[in-house]
Amino acid sequence: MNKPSFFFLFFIYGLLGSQLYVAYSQDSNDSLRFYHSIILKPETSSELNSAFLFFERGIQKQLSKGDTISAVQNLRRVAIGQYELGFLYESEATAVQALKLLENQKVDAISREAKSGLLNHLGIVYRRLKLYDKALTYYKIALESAVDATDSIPTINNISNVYLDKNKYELALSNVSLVLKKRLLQNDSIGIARALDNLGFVQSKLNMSEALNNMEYALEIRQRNYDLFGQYSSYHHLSEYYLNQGDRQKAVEHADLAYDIAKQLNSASYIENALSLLLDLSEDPKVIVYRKLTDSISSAKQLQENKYAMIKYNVEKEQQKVQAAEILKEREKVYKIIFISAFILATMIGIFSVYQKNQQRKRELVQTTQKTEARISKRVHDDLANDVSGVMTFVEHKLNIPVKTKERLLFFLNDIYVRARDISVVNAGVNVSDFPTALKNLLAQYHPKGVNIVTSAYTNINWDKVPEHKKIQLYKCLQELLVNTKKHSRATLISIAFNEKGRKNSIVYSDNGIGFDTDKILMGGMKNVETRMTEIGGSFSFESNIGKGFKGILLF
Amino acid sequence: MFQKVLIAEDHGLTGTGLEESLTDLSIPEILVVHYCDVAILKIKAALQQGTPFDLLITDLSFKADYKDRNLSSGVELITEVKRVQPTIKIVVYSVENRIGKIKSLYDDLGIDAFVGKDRRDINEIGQAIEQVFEGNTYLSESLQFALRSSENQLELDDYDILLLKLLTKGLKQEEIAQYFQERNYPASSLRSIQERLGKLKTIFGAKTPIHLVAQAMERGFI
Repeated sequence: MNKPSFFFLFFIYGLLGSQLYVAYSQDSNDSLRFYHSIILKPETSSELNSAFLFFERGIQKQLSKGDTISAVQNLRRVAIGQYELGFLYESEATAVQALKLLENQKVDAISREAKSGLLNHLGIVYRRLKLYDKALTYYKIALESAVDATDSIPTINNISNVYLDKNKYELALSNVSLVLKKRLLQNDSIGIARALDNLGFVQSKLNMSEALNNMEYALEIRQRNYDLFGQYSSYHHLSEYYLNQGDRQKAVEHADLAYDIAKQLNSASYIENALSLLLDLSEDPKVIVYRKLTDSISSAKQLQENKYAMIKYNVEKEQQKVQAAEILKEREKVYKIIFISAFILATMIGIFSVYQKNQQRKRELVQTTQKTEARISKRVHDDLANDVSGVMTFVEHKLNIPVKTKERLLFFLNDIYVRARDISVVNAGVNVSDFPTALKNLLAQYHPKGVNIVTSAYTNINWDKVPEHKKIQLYKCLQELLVNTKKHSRATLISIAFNEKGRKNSIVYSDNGIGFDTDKILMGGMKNVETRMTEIGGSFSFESNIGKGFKGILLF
Repeated sequence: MFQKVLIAEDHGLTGTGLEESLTDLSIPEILVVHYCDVAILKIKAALQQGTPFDLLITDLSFKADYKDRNLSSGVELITEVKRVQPTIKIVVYSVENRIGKIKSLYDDLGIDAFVGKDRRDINEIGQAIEQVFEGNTYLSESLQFALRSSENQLELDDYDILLLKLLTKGLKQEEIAQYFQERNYPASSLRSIQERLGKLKTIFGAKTPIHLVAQAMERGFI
């Protein structure tokens, strides 16, 4: 039986509510005030729902704006609402959430008041759950955070209530006395009356003689102040007092008075409370049985509800944990993927840049070689071939020597001339901007008389995609092969097939000449081709047999 | 015969040799210069004086020396001369023997003759000048063949390759003709197909269609 707890609650929230309201009156707008009062004195459940919604939205907005303290105040309102609805565990969680938010908040009067209020609220929740020791612990911490008497009085009162619940009347007494002391200091007659009434009630439990005096004095003050709520409490206490004293008649009288006040208050919960008190006083055995039965049913129901709430709450917590773990896992997975992709990307970029650099270096090397070749060629061409030609002219026209000797000399000079010229031709720079035409001219250059030249379509290979230094290199390779055919093969057919296979290109060069024994012939020319192809990352392979012609494949 | 000839040649021995060859052709006025810049000056001056040169004989390569040059090669000189005096005849006398280059001298610069500097060609210079004087374009014998070669090169087209591929599938000539006709390919008559096949056989030196296919495969065409 926890009858006393009933009316203590009213003023607990009455006070806390005003406290909260005062603390945040600066952001008071109409809807805030409206919902604030709904939370503290809900008339219907739908009202409460809309109030919840209002504050929860507020919390989201305030948190995203970084307005933590406003969010905390709203969380307090929600926690109170949840308590009112009987969602004790949810209420606990909300309060804890608000406390956590406060941890990162700078300590000032507002945050301390909020902290104290929240701790006090937790105490209330635990008391309702009959976890008295836990409730006491929280009240005591709340007291430490309390800024002033306005904060501490309700908490001390709450502490005494718990002691009352635990039938530890001495401890309850010392706390109630402390409240009275503080109230007297405040010089607030309604508060003093409340404290006096409570004191008297506790004293009555201890069978102290001052009990009745104090309670009656409190009633007197309340009547003077037209404090109907207070008067109700007084009549209720007095009724209980008389019942304890064995004076059933007086007890019933006071219970009737309490009922009258409840009707004046026009409050269902007060009326219900008053009627319940009257029922307790009834001597009708059926009523007593009914009372016992409803009490045990309601306490069983409460126990059941608590258990269910606990389970439900635990399940929710578990689910949240699982969800959080899943989110974490998912996030880790994403991080892992991001990390791995970043790693792969970095590696690929690394490899690619090394490859690029390598290619660049190779290309530069080839280009340098090609330039050097062209330069030397020009020198040989401009100087040597021209000089020899000049000497030939001189010998022809100016030298007076026997004709036979002259002829021999001119023959040798011409040989030198031709060789010098050919060096320059082989090594000269090549304009490969129109590669098919360049190749056609190359073929014409080395086209031996009486030989057929057949090619597949030059455009089989997309020459735009082949870089210039590669084209020059291919040009020189084909030149080498053509020179070889012209000089040694006695071929009647030269064929060149251009093929594109995926990203690889190939040129198949063949003649139908006498061929050569690849083991016996010193193949300087073939070696040159191979070197040139390797330089551009390609390859060269060939086959030849005596009497079987020649076939070489340039892959690039 | 030409009355007034300019020789641009930086090589002393060659210049005098040329000069002597021209004298043999009884050309009265011959001037030898060693720089392209001097050559263009002389041509412009002669043009202004109303006694233009009839013929320019020029080398292609001129060695760089201490002098700064505006025109540094025969090609640049020819281009400039053609601009100043389009009617002048031009003979190129050079060690160059790359067909592509020489072909472009005729096609792009409009020269009238090219003579190589080897012994065989030197002796053709007189013949070349006579031909040019008569208004002809002169080509040395060796060049004639090489220039003709580009026309003698056979580049197989897609239809040739398709024909060869169809042969590998065992299609008869009639079936190939039908295949071509169904797709509206050109030269799709049996006769055209036969001609094409005959041409391919000749080129590859093949005696039968099977031999032809083997040759084409061996040489990387299919």
